[in-house]
Amino acid sequence: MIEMICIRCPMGCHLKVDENDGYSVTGNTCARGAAYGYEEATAPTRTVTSTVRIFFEKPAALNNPSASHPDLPLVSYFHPDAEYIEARLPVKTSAPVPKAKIMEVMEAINRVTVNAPVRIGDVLLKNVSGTGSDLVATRSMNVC
Amino acid sequence: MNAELVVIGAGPAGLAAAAEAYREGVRDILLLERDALPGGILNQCIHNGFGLQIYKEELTGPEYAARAFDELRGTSVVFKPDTMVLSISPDRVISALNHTDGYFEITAGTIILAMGCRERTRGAIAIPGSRPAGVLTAGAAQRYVNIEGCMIGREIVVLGSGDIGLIMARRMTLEGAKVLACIELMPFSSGLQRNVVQCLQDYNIPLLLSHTITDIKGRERVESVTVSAVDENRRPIPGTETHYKCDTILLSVGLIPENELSKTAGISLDPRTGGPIVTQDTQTSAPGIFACGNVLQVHDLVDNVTLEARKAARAAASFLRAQGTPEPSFTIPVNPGEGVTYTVPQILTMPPSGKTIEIHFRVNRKFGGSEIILSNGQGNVLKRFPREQMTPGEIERIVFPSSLLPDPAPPSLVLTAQSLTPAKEVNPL
Repeated sequence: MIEMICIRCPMGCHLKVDENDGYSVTGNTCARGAAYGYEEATAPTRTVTSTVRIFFEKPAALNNPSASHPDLPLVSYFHPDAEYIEARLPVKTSAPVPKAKIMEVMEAINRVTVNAPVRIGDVLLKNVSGTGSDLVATRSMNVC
Repeated sequence: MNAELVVIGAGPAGLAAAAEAYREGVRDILLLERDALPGGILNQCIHNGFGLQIYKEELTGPEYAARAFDELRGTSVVFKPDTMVLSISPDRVISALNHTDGYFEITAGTIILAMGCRERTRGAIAIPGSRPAGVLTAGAAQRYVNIEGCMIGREIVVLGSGDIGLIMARRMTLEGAKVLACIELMPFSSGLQRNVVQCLQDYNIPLLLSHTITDIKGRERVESVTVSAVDENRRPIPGTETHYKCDTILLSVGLIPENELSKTAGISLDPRTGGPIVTQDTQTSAPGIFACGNVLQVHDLVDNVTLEARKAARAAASFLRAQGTPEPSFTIPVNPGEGVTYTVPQILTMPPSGKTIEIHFRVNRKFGGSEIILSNGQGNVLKRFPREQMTPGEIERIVFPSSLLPDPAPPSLVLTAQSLTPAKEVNPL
């Protein structure tokens, strides 16, 4: 019997998965919990979230030093002569990836750079580390 | 300048309040935000798990913020970013300033406070030791890493097991740092159980319950930290010291509702929550000023912030519609009893405005099979609510019909938590 806490929602149900009975799940209060218990015991997966480098070319925002720019980090304002500005774009895998591949996926994410503008949901990298999941932007940047 | 409704703060609470007030028919709405963009803390919470209840899917923080802001598209809500509110008068005159308008005053028909909260710092919990660089609150670290793109350390000890601390333990691990341990003073985690599982257990980060930091060493930068076990009175036990070599300490030791503006309006605050004392309609002690989200009580889940904000917006809209109608005839205080830390609302207005009354509260320790007892001030039980388990880390709520309150209404209500079976030890760490 494998005991675990369901992470599919904030309730945190205490699941029991019986590996001798076809990984049957008890203790769940919804269908998502039953699916989680089976998956977690057989092939655990997680959605990976991180950030990638995003470059802004000659941002107009810097011509007006009195206004802050919603997409740029505070430290950018100290480099008014830069030809481009580097910021961070939040990203996620479009679907959960195998738990054992999380670090490999992180390494792939860390090699990605993009240029603004980017729209929320844009695919930045297909089939990350052969997981079948795509890397997608979770925020729009420099889009009017 | 005049406005029917001014919402202060455009985090999840302010965004949801403005959208709901518009749906309720309020058209002259001003939404003020001190940051350059809407969304508040959601923008740096890049992890997923938000929005299952409201949006029926698992979203990251920035995605949740985008959804909430999208609800304002096509409405007449005026959004003013980069705007700092300086004070609120009890008769609802707001003074504020920004780069384009300069200093300005707004006379508001009604106000919704949605300023959120801030983190407790090292100073607030008085950790001994020297004061080198490398001691940050978890939220500050989250901002550095996720927004500014700065790595804040390589070998990290997290003090406190609040959700942001747990999330940052995972985040730092993914970014290549070594998180040595998460240290929690209490015998239970103050974060959500799912976060203990997916942020600590997934990465084999030990959670040391009933432990605390008793010394920080280092001149320029943190060099090591001393961790001690504590007794049942939370006093460090001599002889239990362990030393961790590390360069960074992250603090996740609680959040404080940010009520400096509420004080300028003379609003009464509850020392238990740190937020305004409110009625079941989220109205503060200043008539026409409502509060929602983390400025009212520190929430665990953003969906609950959204729900509370919608409630505040409906109340504000109905306040505008009801201009000139008499105030409620009297009020009943709701007091936390044995096992209960606080309640929100703290006051019920009579006769009640809705069909049901909802009370949020936190318990002060872990409960297994238990019941919540709503009684009048004289000890007569009005209703019992069974629970399978309760933990201080998660807000509990009860909902009951207004008709449950006897006529004549009791002078006060008391909420207590009572254990029926002992709490199971469930933490496998």
